Amino acid sequence: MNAKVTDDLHEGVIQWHQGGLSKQIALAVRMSLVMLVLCGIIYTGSVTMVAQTLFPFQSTGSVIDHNGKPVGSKLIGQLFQSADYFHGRPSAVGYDPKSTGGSNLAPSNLKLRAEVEQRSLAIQTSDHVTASQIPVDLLAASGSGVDPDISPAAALLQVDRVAAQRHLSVNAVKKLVDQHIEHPQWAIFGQARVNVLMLNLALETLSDINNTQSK
Amino acid sequence: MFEIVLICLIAVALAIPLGSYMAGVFSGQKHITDGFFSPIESLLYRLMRVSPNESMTWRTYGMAFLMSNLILGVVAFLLLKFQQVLPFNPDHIGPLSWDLALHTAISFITNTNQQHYAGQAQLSYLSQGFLIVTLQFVSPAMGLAICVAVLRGMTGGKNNKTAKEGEERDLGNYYVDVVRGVVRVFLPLSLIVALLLAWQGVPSTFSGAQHVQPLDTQSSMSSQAIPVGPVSAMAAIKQLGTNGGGWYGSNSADPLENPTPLSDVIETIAIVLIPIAVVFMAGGLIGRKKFAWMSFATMAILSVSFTAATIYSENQANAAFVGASAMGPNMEGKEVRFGPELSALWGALTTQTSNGSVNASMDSFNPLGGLMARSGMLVNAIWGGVGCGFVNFIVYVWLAVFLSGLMIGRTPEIFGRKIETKEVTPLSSLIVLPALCILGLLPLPCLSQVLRGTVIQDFMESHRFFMSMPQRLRIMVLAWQG
Repeated sequence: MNAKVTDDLHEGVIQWHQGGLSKQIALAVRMSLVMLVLCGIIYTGSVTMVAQTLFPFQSTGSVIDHNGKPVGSKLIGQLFQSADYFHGRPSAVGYDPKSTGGSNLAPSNLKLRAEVEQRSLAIQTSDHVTASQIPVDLLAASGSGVDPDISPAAALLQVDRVAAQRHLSVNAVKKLVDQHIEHPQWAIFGQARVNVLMLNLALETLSDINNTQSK
Repeated sequence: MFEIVLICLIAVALAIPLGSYMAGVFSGQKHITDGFFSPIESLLYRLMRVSPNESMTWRTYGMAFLMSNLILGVVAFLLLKFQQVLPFNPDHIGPLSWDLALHTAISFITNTNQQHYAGQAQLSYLSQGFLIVTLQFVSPAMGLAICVAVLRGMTGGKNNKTAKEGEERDLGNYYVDVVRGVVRVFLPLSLIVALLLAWQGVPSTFSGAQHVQPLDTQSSMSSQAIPVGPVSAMAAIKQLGTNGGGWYGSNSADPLENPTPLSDVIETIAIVLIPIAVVFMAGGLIGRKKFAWMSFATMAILSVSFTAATIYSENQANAAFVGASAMGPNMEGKEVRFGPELSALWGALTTQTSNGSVNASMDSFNPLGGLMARSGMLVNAIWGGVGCGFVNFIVYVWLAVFLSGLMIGRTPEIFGRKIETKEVTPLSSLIVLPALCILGLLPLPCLSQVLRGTVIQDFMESHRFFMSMPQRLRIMVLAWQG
């Protein structure tokens, strides 16, 4: 066996050198094309098709309807500015999912300090709280710029304002927030959080019920 | 803290069996999956017209590696430059400029995955799902092939027992190694990870962006486009192949690319899974289990300490928030569903493995966290990129053996081979080269006003490094006066 292996090896080496550059280029071109078909078309195509069949809701971006119209994605935060809604986190990209990103400002950057102070003052005025009551996540821009969640503390902070604006009882709104707290997944992974869009949708429904009752 | 420990344990527990499986794949051992994989492989060999039994010397192996990279790079450039006339472009995205196309092609062919474009806005589905995904499969498979060839060479080649002194050594067949890597390692793993991610909410579709009407009609946002696409397929291989280039601009911080804490855990494990497995694969390939455990222990000690320092750092307050908010961890650039610890874990592991995907803005990390990330990238041998990371580690091992040989006054030897000036000169230049490139080339962009841009301007305002001479003198005088 030994002699044969050595001979084969020699032959292989000679073949390679004889074939030269053009053979190697042709081989590399064929490899590129074969891999493009295998990984690009077959893999991407089959994964996408199987996932689409198994998870039809998730596969198109987890879009939810409200009054028969697509109102947003469960996963993507929206810009809430009116006082009668719960507000999400600051965004460096104005909640545009097409140009996602964070502020990328370092902790030592004076611009970040200025922005945080300004946000803090705005919340202190709108929600009648002191600076030391505002949870960090409500002042910090998210990494994606479309973070759908806030911390439970950040939601509870806004209860008084939202209840007053919508003429709802503080307790009813607080109960709504409690219902929307998502705990760490499997009680281990991640942080407790509140999805702002889902909370605001539930808030709309609550207000609607209230309005019809009072009429 | 418990979640972090659990994630690391799961990753190692999965990597050990995967490593021995990979050793079998690259030494051509029989395996129960042969019945499924072998026909696929022989079909691929036939299409590529490769004879799988053909051996290569280090010269032909290296030549094949360079040539296949060059050609794939040219193909990538052309596809990016002409994406507007090619199919699968439902959002009618235009071509990339020639320099951006060149940058992108080089970036993905070298497994760097640096992106100067926003994927969801500038690349068609064909460019992302077809081209970038392919590069993300092939470039780590190439790195793995090089690692396997180095390991074979280190132990005298496949023909070690029969070769005479001075005879060319057989390093195996480059194309066979790449094909087996893609078919038997990367494709099956990506398939599993992609479906898990799709289940958690990562989009998988070929239809265009979803347009929605935001709830708050009084806000300055009147409509929102939810960009979707075959994202889950790409997110899986992006993580597994230490690629890092994401579908969306904000990578795995984007809730569509990483929707839940569980998807984050899966993606985090996928970052380190193959890089750790490579260590155990090496032990199997060269038949030295002890060497594998030594390498594993060295890397694990560095990895755990870097990661712990990063987690500690991100649990501290961000300096810019002191006094403006309640006490809390650094949340600037982080997502609420992950919090500081999962973000820090990811940041540490992604830089150690030269993966480069992110689930939080690394620029906004606290100083110690940023330092750990930079150190991980510079070492590039704490797990490191698929294949290349372990090759880097071997370079360090060779140098360490050489130095310790000098210290005890014996001819340094590893695996029965001497290490002398001839070997050490290129090895040490491999260590110096990256630092030389970074430090040597960094001043060039700083010279140009355009390249300096606003980033350095901010840097100069907030740091006192770049003060002019009169400013510096004035401060010195003030300090002296009082």
